[in-house]
Amino acid sequence: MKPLIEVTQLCKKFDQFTAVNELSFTVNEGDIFGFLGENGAGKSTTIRMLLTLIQPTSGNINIFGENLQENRKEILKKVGAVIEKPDMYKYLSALENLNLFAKMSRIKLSKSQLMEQLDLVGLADRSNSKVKTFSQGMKQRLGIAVSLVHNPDLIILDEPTNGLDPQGIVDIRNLILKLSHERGKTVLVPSHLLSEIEIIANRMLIINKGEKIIEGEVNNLLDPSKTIVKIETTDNKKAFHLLTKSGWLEKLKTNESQIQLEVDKKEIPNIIRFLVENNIEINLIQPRHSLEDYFLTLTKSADYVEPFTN
Amino acid sequence: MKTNILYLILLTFFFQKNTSAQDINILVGNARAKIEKVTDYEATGKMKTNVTFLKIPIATIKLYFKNPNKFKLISEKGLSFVPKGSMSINLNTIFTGNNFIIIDAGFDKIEKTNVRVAKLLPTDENSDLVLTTLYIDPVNFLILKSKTTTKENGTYELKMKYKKYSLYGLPDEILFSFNAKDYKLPKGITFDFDDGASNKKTIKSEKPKKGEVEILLSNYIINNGLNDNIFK
Amino acid sequence: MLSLLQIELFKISRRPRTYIAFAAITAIVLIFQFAFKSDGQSYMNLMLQNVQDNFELDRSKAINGYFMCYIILNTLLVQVPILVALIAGDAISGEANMGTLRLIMTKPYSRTQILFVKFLASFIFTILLLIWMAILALFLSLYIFGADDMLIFRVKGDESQILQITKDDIMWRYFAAFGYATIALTVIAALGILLSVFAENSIGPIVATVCIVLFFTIVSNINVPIIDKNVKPWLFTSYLVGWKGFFYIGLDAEGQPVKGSIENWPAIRNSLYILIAHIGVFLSIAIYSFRKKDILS
Repeated sequence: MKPLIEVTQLCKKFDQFTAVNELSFTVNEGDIFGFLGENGAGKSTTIRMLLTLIQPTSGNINIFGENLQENRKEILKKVGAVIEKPDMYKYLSALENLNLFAKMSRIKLSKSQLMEQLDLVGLADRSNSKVKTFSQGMKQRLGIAVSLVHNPDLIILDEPTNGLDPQGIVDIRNLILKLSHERGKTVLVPSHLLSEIEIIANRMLIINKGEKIIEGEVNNLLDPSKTIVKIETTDNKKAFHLLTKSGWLEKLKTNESQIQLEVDKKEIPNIIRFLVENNIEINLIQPRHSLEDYFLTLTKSADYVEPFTN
Repeated sequence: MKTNILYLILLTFFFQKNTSAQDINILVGNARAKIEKVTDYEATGKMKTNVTFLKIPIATIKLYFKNPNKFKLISEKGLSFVPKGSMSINLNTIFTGNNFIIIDAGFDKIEKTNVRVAKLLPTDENSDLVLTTLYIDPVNFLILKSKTTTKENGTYELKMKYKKYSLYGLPDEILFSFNAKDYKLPKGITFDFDDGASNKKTIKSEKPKKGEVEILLSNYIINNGLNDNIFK
Repeated sequence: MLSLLQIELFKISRRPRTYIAFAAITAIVLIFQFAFKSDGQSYMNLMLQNVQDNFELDRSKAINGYFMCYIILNTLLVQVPILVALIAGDAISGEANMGTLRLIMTKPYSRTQILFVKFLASFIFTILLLIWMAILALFLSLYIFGADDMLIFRVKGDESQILQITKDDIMWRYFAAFGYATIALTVIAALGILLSVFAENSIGPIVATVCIVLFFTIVSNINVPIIDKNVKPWLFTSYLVGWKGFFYIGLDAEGQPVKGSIENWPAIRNSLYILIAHIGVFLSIAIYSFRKKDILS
């Protein structure tokens, strides 16, 4: 597999604040690459550096095997992106926006070709509506259409399912998969939703506070059978001790209001039964797969607290 | 009796200076008769205005006159600043409608020509005219210079040169002078472009400035019968 | 680059804001024409003052199309910088505010190209604005008021003057004046673009541009010798009215206007150089800053 994006030792400092620190990663051709981080982790800064919106303080970026600084124009011709919010010219129609950005990407498309693109994201029937009348989800779709209009090899879709209804989310997921599998495009998906990335990405990178936490194959990093369960009971102290004794404690974090533990999904009914049998009423049991939780597993309960021992 | 003696003394005085001296009333009368031979005329000419603040081109003008007192000065094309009192360019207007007492004011010289000076005082107290002084060539009965003081329009002076139309008492050249009031626009009203070339040093004495209008006339059409519509 | 310019012009043409400028000009010109059509004599009386004691002037002829255009430009060219600022001040900051800047910047154009095209678009807008002004203020005025010789009322140093330009000597002066005004207003456009690089909303740079122009204009009109000598030459606003230089007709030794002449061409030429230098400096700083800027909007 050929590397498409190679980032090495990338740093960005804003005055005293280090937004991205010594970040290195590789995106391969054909990847759907999940780029994960909480808000403020340095995702946006990194993406903006990949798109030459921000000058790196140091480090190197190669895309399509070329240095980004030196071959900016040639590289950008083959890149399409939605960066953060999909903002468009509100006073222009969807079709006009699409046409305008196609021209800016130095390609000329006929009206039917443009309509095809809008159809791809389900906006064909609103092609002549001004963008200011669009919902967030429609803007998101148009943003994606704009990022694809010049048939780029690398597509960067920031939080692509933001603002979409459930059907829209499914549509866009399918579109991304289709772009990768059928058209051989490389898709970089910055997101703060691990669940999202888990579904579509084959590789992923997690950053926190501007630094890389982990990078690799999604399948290797996320054990699909394991999940984190959040439990709230009438007596958390008792529940904690019971669960500790019965060996479910392996990865467990707790405080006075709730208990969290990482378990095999199949174990969840057993845990419920176990607690009920021990006369503990369960107020809430919720499987979670948040990035925060995942950090927890990565850091091996580094911030483990046991408030009930003394 | 006393006045008679005084008159006699004055007369003796004149005869001593110029033996060919005529009675001033007759002289003015002759000059007037010459002018009044013309019942109407039209003339074309050029008018050049010399007033410090007025930077305007030489105008091509047309003069119209018809007895007794119809007069018009117009610019053939474009805008023109017509001096007030330009009526008096036409000497007929001095005489018409006014009764005068004529006073002999002696002799003078205008560009080598000996002239008689006559002062005309209107008898009508409501007349705008206060005083007109005429400098008359006693040989050709031509008025070479006139100075008119009015109640409303100040004092103006006419100098005339005669060539082709001297027979009719119509001048070829007229120099009309008057006291031009100072012109001052408030600075700032015009947002002018200050090109730095004009700065200071123009502080001049505040004495009233002389304005001059030079008129060169040609092509008189005399006594051809002018339509009154022209003066409307 | 040409297609980029087309896109810019397309965007400008589709924004309602653009037409505010044209509407404002139309309204002002029409009001002027109406006012002078109904009572231009009073204005003439004011300007002529005591000249009327010595001279008679056909004031209805004096208020003609050429004169009207001069009066309108005199007033309007003080306000038009605001209209140019409205477009130029918005050029970069407006895109930043809308969120489209980051999208534009990921297109295969250099930042210099993008900024320069923005500048060119503002420049073309300025030209169109002036053409519209010429159509209304000059040609419509000529249609309404007719053509005749033109009077220029001028304060030159301590002197006030009335200049008369014959009607066959005027049209070229207007062409030259509109050409000059284009350069002068382009300075405003360049300033607007420069300020717009640093902002992420369009109000800031528009207001800042207008404030700078107003402030400088007020200072250049204080008319105190110390300011006239030491400050005025350094303010570009002093040169904005240089178009009038084309109407200061040259005089011969006898004080007669000389047809086809200009009193002080070197002064106009130097003003043009100074204005063009301003455009160059503003634009260079704008491009330099824009190239270094991190796009965070």
